[in-house]
Amino acid sequence: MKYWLFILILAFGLNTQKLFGQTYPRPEIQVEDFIENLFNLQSSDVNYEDLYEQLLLLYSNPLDLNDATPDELRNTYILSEKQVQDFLSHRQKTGKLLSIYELQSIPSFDQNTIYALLPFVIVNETPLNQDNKGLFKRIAIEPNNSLIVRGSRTLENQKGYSEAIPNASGDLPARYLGDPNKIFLRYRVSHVKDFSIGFTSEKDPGEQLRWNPATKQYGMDFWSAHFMVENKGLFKKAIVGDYQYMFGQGLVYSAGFAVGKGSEPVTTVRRSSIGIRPYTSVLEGLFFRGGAATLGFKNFEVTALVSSKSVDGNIQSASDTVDNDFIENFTSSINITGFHRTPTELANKQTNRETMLGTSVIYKEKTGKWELGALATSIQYQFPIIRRPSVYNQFDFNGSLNQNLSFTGQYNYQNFSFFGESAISKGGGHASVAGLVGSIGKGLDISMVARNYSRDYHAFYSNGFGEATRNVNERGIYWGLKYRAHPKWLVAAYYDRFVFPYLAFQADGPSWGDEYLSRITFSPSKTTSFFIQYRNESKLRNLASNQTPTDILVTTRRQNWVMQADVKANSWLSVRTRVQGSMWNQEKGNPQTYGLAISQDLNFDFGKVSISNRFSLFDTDDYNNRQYLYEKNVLYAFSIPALNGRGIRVYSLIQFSLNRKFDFWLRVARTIQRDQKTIGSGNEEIKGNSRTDLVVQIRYKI
Amino acid sequence: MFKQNKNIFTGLFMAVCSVLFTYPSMAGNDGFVFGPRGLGTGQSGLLHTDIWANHNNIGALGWLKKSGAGVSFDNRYNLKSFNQIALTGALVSKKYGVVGIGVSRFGSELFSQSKASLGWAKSFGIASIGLQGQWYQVAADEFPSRHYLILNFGGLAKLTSKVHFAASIQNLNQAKASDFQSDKIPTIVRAGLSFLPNNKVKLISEIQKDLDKKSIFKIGIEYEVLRKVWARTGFSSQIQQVSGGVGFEWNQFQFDYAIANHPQLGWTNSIGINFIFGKSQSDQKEPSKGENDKENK
Repeated sequence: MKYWLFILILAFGLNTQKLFGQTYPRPEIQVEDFIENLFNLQSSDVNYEDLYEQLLLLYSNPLDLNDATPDELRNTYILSEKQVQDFLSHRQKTGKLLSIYELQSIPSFDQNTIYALLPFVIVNETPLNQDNKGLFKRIAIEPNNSLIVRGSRTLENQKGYSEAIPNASGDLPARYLGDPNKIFLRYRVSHVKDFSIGFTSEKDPGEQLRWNPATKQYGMDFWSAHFMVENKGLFKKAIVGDYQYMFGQGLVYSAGFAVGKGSEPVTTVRRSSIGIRPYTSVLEGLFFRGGAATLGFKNFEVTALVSSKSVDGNIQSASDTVDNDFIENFTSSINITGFHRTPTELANKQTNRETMLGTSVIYKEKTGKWELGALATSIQYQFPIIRRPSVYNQFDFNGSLNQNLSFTGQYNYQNFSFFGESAISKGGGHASVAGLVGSIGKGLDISMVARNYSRDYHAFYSNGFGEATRNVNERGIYWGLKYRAHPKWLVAAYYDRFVFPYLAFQADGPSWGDEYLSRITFSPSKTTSFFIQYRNESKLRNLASNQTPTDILVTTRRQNWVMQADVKANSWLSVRTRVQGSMWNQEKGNPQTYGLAISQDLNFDFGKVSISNRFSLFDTDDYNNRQYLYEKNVLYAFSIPALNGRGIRVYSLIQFSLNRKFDFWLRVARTIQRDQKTIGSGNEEIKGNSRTDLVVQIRYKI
Repeated sequence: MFKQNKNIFTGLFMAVCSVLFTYPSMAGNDGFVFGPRGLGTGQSGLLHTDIWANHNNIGALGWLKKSGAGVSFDNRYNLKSFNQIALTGALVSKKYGVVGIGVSRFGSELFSQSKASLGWAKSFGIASIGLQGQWYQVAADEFPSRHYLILNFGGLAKLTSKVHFAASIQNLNQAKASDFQSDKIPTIVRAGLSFLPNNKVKLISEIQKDLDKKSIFKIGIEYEVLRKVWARTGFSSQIQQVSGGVGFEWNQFQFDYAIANHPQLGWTNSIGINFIFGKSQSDQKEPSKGENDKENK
């Protein structure tokens, strides 16, 4: 069937190849579905909004198949190692792809893979840089540009916006300085492998919209911009402004982005060295500000990185014990939340300067069989970080200077890809990770990763593979397996065993544990799919119900299960039902607790107008059983509330495309918890039993 | 001097045993797999139809096509007292089935377990069954040694060419270890499924249940990396032991090595050599090159 289709296309394609190639409608990225397939949704200590932002950065530029490097292909997390190898050898043998349909002629590319890949790739027929127009002319006429304006707010009154009433001791509690509106602006014009220009700006709820250089307020609270060009003579990439850098397996620089363990057990365990990337997000901590360039000489890629930016933190003073006149300033931590809502938060804004210098050299063997790289970098803070000493943090970074040296390599052998990185930090801490992904049969892929991170390893922008959020104090080994037994059936599973040799989060002693997940997906047709998933995590944690002064480590077990059915009923209606739950217990502890959430989606798509609706219900015994549910949001925004307690959550999202230039979005989401008198805590607290959030967004293509 | 050393050893041994006892089915030597191939695939030997089936699942021996003999040596957790040496031999007769003999000794002069077994297995259609009698001796320093007779039973069914099922019962007769608190030799039941998606890959899952302890779940994979070179890895839940190994075949010899790690107890090493009378040993180790090419290119 596949071959007939291909022959048919080829027959047409000979005459109308231009028509085919260029008019193929690239499907919209179904971000929720895609992310859900990658991430382990119910993991406790992951910031999903950050991850989502990072993924979006990655996917906002489609990959040109005629130009894609092996690393870029792997970085889609869709292709198996065999498919990557097959694609590359196909491209080598038959030359550039004529159209996207040509993918069907590669034997290991099944229909599922092609459909999954389509939203992220293009086949570009007009070679870049070959039209004689100058760069600025190209920028001016580039159709791939858009301005996004988004406003959102919580409709109920939150405590932070109320009048401050002195408390018992006469102090005024802190209140937000600004209004509860959130404003977001983004403009970007870019062309794959040629240039990218953009700016992003944001004001969080509670922040002021004010021009006052004395308090470092410049209208909106956060501004970011970049200008990047690619493939200009010796320069493979050159950027001025805000950027990220990704090297090796992310033990030093990971560009903040990592998927790690999830429902996709094979392709996500390996990081790809994608180098410099423009930063267009609004997370106020995970980027560099300055300039960077990658030069290509033959098979060498040499990169230089320079950055200087101000970071948040409370600067404290201490007088020297010997010389009392000598006052030393320091900070106990760097704050990366990016909130500047209260007077204290505003006072701590941009108080410490972080200066980063770095250089890397990567040698890529001509055929892409292997590569080796080295990175040396240093980060200097104007005021040192001196933590309040405790047993827990005594191996954490203290001081004002950190340096990292790292080596990375990868090697491809048949259908296998081996990868690794080893890094050291100033003071002797070390971190190493090594692994493999491979295809060992038709539709059968495996992965393995081993890591060893010492307790005194320091790297501020690392995000290598692991169980814990930081790459410290961990040893572990991971296996992943994915088997497409049949076009309609997919089995995915992983097992991970880890040891934390030193004290860890909620574990006041050396601890260990293991985790496994398995998912079975059944897709009887293109429009219907069903999956069940089970995950079990056991690790040693402090006994919560412990009454003695000394903490006791006990096996703490968390189980999650999900069942989901998706049906696209016809061209305009699709429905989804999802049931998920969790169990949590501690050995020798209190009885097991449970959580449950059920959601029902009803999505209409009438071409110019599409409407998405959800009704969900949740009931959890405690916060350990909170339920995360992905929700559709306006384009480039993301919502994954942690539902805790007993209640109902509903939302409605309307998208309206006025014409080719204007798109509008409107979203209303509401949580109702009838047995609660207040929702939220601290300044976010709402008096009442419901919370309503409103989002409005406009996109304008200039 | 010697006496003192001995006491230290005894103390050390007791300490390690006390750790072992807290992990299900690791007490003594009864839950362990024999041979580096089984250790490499996550401590799971139930579904390997090789000469080590003598020790791991007498029923699987029924599928053996060539006679052979082998020896293996294990050291657990880098402790002198935790050495094991095992011998295995199998004689194949097309008509009467397979006769297997196995001998092993675990421990040191302070504490040791010795086993000698004689078994018979045969395949009938898609299934094979086997029965084994085992002489089991336990000797502890300064105590009189004890010995028991144990019966083991097992079987392996090839449900399809890709899916195999196996089960075994160790100590069918539930031999008593002593009258004190009606102490029994552990009765261990195992059941497992293996899946062979192609001729190079064998995926194994096994559940092991000691009547008095929690069950252990094991997963293993064996992959023929090159012709007659195998890579293996696996893990067992509950005890969280992970393992890996390699093996290769050279003429009539098979060499295997495996290493395993336990989060608290540390490393286990196992090495073994088999000699096969005739060219290849069993169905699993018979790569048919043609089909592989079809599958993988």
